[in-house]
Amino acid sequence: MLARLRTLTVTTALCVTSLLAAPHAFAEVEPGGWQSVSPGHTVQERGCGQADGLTFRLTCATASGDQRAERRYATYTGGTRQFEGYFRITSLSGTRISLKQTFNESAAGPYFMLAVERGGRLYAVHGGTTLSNAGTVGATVRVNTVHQVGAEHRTYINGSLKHTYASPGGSFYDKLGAYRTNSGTGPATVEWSGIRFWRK
Amino acid sequence: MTYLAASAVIALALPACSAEQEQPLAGALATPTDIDLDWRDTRPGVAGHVLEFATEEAGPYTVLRYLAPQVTHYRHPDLVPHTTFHYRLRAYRGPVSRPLQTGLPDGISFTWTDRSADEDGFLLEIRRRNSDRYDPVAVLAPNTTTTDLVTLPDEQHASYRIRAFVLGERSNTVRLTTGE
Repeated sequence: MLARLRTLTVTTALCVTSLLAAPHAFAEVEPGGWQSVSPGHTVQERGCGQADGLTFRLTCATASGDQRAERRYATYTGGTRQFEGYFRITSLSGTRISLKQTFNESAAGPYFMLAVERGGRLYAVHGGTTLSNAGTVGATVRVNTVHQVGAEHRTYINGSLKHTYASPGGSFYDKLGAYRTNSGTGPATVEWSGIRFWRK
Repeated sequence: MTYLAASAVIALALPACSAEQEQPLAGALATPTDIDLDWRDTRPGVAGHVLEFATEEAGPYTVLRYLAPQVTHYRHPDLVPHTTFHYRLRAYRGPVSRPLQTGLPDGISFTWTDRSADEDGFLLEIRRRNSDRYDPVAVLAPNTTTTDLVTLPDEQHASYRIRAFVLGERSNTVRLTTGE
């Protein structure tokens, strides 16, 4: 018993040393010169959409019209922006609900839309590319987007690069929540957490 | 006393936090942006593992996958370049039961009785045709007693079971930085 205790004690000491020796950690992904920013936001509720903090609900199965509950963050122009957030779908009786958008204000339309189908498939609405099957009910999924305005928009799901999209210049903004796509329907409940932004 | 000293030497010779032989998680860069993780855990009663990652040592950690006990390898692919990733593994245990199944137009509805008082959640596990093991296919919150699964073609004629699982101790943490 003593031997076992001794071994554990030494191991614990090593773990503590490792923690102390770790360099300063940066949460944002991709290298170099990121500056944390806190863009303001407004809340948008349309149709049967309801927002309560970072919980977004579509309470109806209506397959037409504007059904959404979202946060709309402040517009940015130029530079490179990074978004990080974690979502968890807590219920999805419907399908094809957009969870995160990068909106092109200059072109007055969504530029990139991350959506989920019933069953957990995450896809890009424009083009239909499958990004992951991680969006199942109850699973927490980490999303990072890096947007080089005028160059490229990259989407990472759980740390892995899943989508790359050419970007025009102009003004953009981020939206997140629950948004019925043209072919989608609620009900759905989505909880977001850990929302952070950076720029460089 | 000699034995005590030998134990200490063995622990010091191993990488930090990996002296618990039950869950030695190891990782390596397979390419500049792909990380391979390997482990071995043959302890009795272990029903599977949860593999988690974070880009800060203190977290938050995100679950990459719930894995059957026979799985001892995972590749985390196409990672963010020049970023430090932290990984840890957690064993889970718990009994299984057969849920009631009802067909849906696009899948299967499952119902079961919650007989456990302290579960961390439920796993819906699937054994596909021609497979000799059950793999987790859905993770459900504690006290859940029903769920729907939208099935893929190879999931329509499979065998299913429900596991009330309890999470165990965490493994050592593996820390690797991608390149490119």
